[in-house]
Amino acid sequence: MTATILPKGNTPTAQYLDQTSQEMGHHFQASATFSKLPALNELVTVWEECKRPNWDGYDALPVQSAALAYTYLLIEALPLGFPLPTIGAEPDGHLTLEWYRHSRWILSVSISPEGTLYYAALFGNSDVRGSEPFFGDIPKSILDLIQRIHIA
Amino acid sequence: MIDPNQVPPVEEAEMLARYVMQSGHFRQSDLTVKPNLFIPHPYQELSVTRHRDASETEIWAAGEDVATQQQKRLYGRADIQARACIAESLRVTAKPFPNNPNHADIEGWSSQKQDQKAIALKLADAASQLKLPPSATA
Repeated sequence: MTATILPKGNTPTAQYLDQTSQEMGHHFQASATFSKLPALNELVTVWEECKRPNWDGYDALPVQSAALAYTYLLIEALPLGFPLPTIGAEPDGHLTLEWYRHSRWILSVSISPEGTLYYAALFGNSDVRGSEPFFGDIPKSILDLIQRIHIA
Repeated sequence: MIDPNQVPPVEEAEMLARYVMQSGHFRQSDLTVKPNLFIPHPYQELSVTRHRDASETEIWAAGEDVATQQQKRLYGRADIQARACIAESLRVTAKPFPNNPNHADIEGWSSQKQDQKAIALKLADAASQLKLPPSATA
C-alpha cells in the first residue's frame, strides 16, 4: 500500500494561496499573543517580585523558572475569547491564575514547577477542587470552570 | 495586649489579623484579599495576631514589627474571625512570642494542595477587606 501525498501544487495560484495562508497564520498567532499581553505582562511582574525567597514576609519559597515557563504556556494555550486571568504566586513557589467575579464565585489554578495544575473554585456554597497534569493543552475540566465563572 | 503570663486559648468569636506584605495578596480594584494570602507554606500553619485585649495601635504595631523584621512593606491587614477557620476544620492555637503575646497559628491543614486552595478561597471570602495601616492614611 502506498501513501498518497496530495501535492500542494506548484502553480502561481497555489503558491500564492500557500504563502498567504502562512502569513495569515503568523499574523493570527501574533494577534492571539497580543490579546494575551496583559496577562503575560502581569506574569513577568509577578515573577520579578516573587523569584526571591521570603517574597511575602512569611518565608515563602521563590517561584522557579520552570513554573514560569509552564504558566506562560498555559496562558498561551487559553482559547481565544476566553477571559484572561490575573496572576499571582503562592508561598510554595507555585504561580496562580485566578478568574474572579466575586469572593464566592472564583477559580484559582496553581501551576507547579513539575507542570501539575491544582485548582479550586467556589460557586456560591459549593466548591470544586482537583488536580490535572499539564501537557500543553488546558484540561477541559478547567476550561469548563473558567466558562462557568464568567457565565453567571 | 494579652498578659504573656496568662495567655488564654483562642475562642471562636475572636478576631484575628493576617498581615499583608505583598502587593499581589489583595485586589487593588476593591481591596478584597486574595486566597493566596491564606495558603500555609512552608510551615503547615498560618501566622495571625489575635485582637484580644489589644488596641488598634497595638495590632498595627505588631504588624509593623513583623514587616520591619522581614524588611517588607506593610500594605495592611485582613481580619478574620476564628470561627471561620474552625468551620473549615482548622484549629487556631495561641502561640505567644516574647514580642507578641497575641500571636497565634491556624493549624490542621490538609497536606493536599487542592484542599488547601479550597479552604483558602473560603477564608479569603470570610476575611475583611484590606485595612490600611495608619501610615498609609496619614
